[in-house]
Amino acid sequence: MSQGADTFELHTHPGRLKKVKYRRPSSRQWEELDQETAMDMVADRLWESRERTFQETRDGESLMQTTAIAHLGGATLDIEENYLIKKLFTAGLGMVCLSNQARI
Amino acid sequence: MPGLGTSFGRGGATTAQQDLSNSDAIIIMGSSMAENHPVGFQWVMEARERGAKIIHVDPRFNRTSAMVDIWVPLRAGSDILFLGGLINYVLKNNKEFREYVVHYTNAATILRDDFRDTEDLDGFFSGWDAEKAKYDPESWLYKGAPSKNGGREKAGHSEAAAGHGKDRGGEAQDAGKFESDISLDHPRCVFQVMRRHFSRYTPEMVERYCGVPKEVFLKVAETFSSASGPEKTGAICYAVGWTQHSKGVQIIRSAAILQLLLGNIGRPGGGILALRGHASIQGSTDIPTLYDILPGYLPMPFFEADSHKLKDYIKKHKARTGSWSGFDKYFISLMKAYYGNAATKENDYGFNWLPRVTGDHSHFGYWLDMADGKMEGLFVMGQNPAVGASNGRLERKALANLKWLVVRDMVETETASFWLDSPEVERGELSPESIATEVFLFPAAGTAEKEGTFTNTQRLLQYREKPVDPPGDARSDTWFMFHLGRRIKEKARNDPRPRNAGLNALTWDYPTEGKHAEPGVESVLKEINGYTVADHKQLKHIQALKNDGSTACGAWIYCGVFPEDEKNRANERNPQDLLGHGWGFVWPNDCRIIYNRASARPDGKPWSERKKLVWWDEEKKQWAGLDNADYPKDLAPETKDNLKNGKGVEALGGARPFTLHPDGVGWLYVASGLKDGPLPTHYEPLESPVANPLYKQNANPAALKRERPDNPYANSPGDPRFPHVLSTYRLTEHHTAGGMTRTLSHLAELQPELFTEVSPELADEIGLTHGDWATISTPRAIIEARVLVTRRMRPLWIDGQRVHQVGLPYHWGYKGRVKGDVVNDLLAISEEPNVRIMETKALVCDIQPGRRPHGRELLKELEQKMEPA
Repeated sequence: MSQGADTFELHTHPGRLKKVKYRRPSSRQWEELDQETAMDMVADRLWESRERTFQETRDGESLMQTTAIAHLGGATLDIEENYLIKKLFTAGLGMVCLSNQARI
Repeated sequence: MPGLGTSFGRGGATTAQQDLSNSDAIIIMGSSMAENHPVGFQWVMEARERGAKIIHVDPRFNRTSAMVDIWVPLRAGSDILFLGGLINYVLKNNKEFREYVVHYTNAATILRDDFRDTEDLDGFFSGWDAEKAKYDPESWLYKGAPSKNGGREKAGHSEAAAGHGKDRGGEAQDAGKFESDISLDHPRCVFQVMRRHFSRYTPEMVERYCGVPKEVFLKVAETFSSASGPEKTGAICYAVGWTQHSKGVQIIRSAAILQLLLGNIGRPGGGILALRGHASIQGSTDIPTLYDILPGYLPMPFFEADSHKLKDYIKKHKARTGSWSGFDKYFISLMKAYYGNAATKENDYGFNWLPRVTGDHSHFGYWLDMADGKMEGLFVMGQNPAVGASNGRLERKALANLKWLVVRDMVETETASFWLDSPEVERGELSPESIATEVFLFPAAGTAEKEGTFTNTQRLLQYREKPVDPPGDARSDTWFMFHLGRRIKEKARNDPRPRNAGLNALTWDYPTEGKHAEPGVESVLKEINGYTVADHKQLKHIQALKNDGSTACGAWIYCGVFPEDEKNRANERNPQDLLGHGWGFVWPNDCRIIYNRASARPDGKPWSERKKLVWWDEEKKQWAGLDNADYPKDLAPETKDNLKNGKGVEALGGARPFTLHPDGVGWLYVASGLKDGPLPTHYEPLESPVANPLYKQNANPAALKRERPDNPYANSPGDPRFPHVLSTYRLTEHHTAGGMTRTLSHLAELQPELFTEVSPELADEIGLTHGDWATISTPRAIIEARVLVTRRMRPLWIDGQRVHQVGLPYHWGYKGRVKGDVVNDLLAISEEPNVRIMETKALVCDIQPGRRPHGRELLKELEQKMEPA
């Protein structure tokens, strides 16, 4: 109940993230990044990893899978968000490693 | 989900929280409902005001215990002994609701001659393969029901499969065909098998191994079993205190058996309320971000188990009788929602564009791969595994093996900054220079800054409008996924390789609005609801789904939530009655209490005036009442079943309320669909201070320990290095791993510091002082916490030895306004066999006065601690 009562602060407190932060390999610090640039970079990483690790077939049968890219989270998200995650990542990209808090 | 799912047909809570006010008795167990579900707890209080007896079974006295009639402390991990004791009490004293049991459960069904119980085989059911460490469940099937197992793997028991999928026992056999004896006297009928199975769960056994005095147990048994019969009902509430065990599904199964025997499912004031721990735990399983299922509990295709022909996949998963006879309609409509016009009959509606599951791709399954350097990238969205997941040290170190990590959250979480300020960096195990992981941290919108739907603990879909825009670059995850998808699809657009066929076909034309091009969330919900392909009309009911590609539907169980273009039922806010009709939309079909056909007698009349809910209206010739009937609307009660030869739900006839099951009844005994047995049986936790009193087999044989040097275990039973029982839990003021609450001033002030609850007896024994520090250790980690000496904890006498229990809330970490050690570092990564959840509620630990060492000294101490005693 107290969590619900603090919803206003949850959205307005000074610790909220407002900019994209980026950490280069082996760096000791965060940098700020423009959101559109960050989206392009993430799309590139995702595409490259998929290209490197995708398996179309195994033993001559359809596999259409990558196990090298994963996703975690969903129980705090909306069902529409969960729907798009599963649709794009699994049905579109062949990612099978999807998981969330709801392993019950 | 499979605990309820296999017992009743659906993995959701059977009732609504408001309906608890109709109960005559309520058991809360595996949950501190007042603490963690305080809003819903008002209905428990309402029931108490009306005279209901409230029972709380919990190792700790907490905010819930303070408000109930009977508090029963028991040893963490002994739940099935206690519940089995209640079942045995009901059976021994003929307290079952006989007419309900005979007509609405599989008590009369006769089992195969080759089935052997754990009582016969010292802790194993028949079919155990010691080499593969798993069951062949063939011998568990009904006598007379033809086995459907033609493929290379048994349905629902594929090696890699978890249990979220739809196998509700109807896949391995044609369960409409079975032999039965409604006198319940046949020695191999479920009722008699169960009677023998639970016969050793006596009050004496409960006293000796749960630590619950016999007279307290009998008081609970008498109180709860009296909330049964035509005039009375009782409810059971549970939360992760039941699920997070190495046999969690079977604990829930025990509750299901008890409630079926007492005739408490589908009736007002009855039911089992699964209290979910996040806003949309239920929603994120219904519309899963899980590896083994597709929306609506359709199974993901498995590489070897499922054929590569749609026809064979459907044949395997479709049932002849009951609601799963519509499997092909649900699945093909999903393919149409995913792949649009490109999904055709000729290409099996894109069936082979879906990836195949080849192993354990659950959180722990792939995280261990990550630890072994086999993963490249990870998206973490609204979760904080660096402090929220078991064996945090392993979890955090594994992140350092990624090429790239994307985190989306409202604040900088421990997961996002593992490379900078984790305990491993402090201890010199990792250094930023040695970590090559590229990290992207995106600011996420909060719930008040985006539109969307949560599905709550009682299957209720509630749509939120957006009061304010998110600050700065913060965006919804809908925005993130949509625009990421747009970019990825662009990369694949002119690339004809087979891997891109599904991606190119994926329908992704959601309209956008506003300066940030936010996708229209309602358009996604409309797709989830489903529509006709030809003229794009919203579907009004599950019955409108077709198997010929003419309908599209993102999740068949949600069909009806958006029945017309301008009618979003999740956004309705005009409650008409106690059950809340008019407020939001409950799946399925706005049934607030599911299986509610069972609230009427077989002849269609209510069991009693006091407990009426849904009944047959003789004049209108349809089901009517206080809730939408969870039954074909005009299927008259006197309609004879045609289980042997019929098809569909109609074959169940007019008096079989559990319509997802091919035999239409509630399952006391689960013939297939579970990996660790058709009946619950007591096993000790993976780490336990005592040996299993029933069998030589100590722990659940089908559970996976994932034991390895970075995930070690204490010896069990009885490791003198770790003599006490440990449970982790949550507090009202904080949300799980604390990322959304430790950052807030009010909540941080209310619960500022990690503490450990210990009894005065334990404090005396080892010299702990209230308010001082204690160091708690397990084979995985050493942490420190403030000592709270309290009578809320008490030692229990277990088989002649005094067992102490230690409590630890787990909300703290190394960031936020208030900090504290990561309690989840103490836990092992372990997997319950059906859903692959870890054991957090019952493990062993040591506790000593004083603070822990820092830096490398801590690792040395951990090594010393692990030296054999």
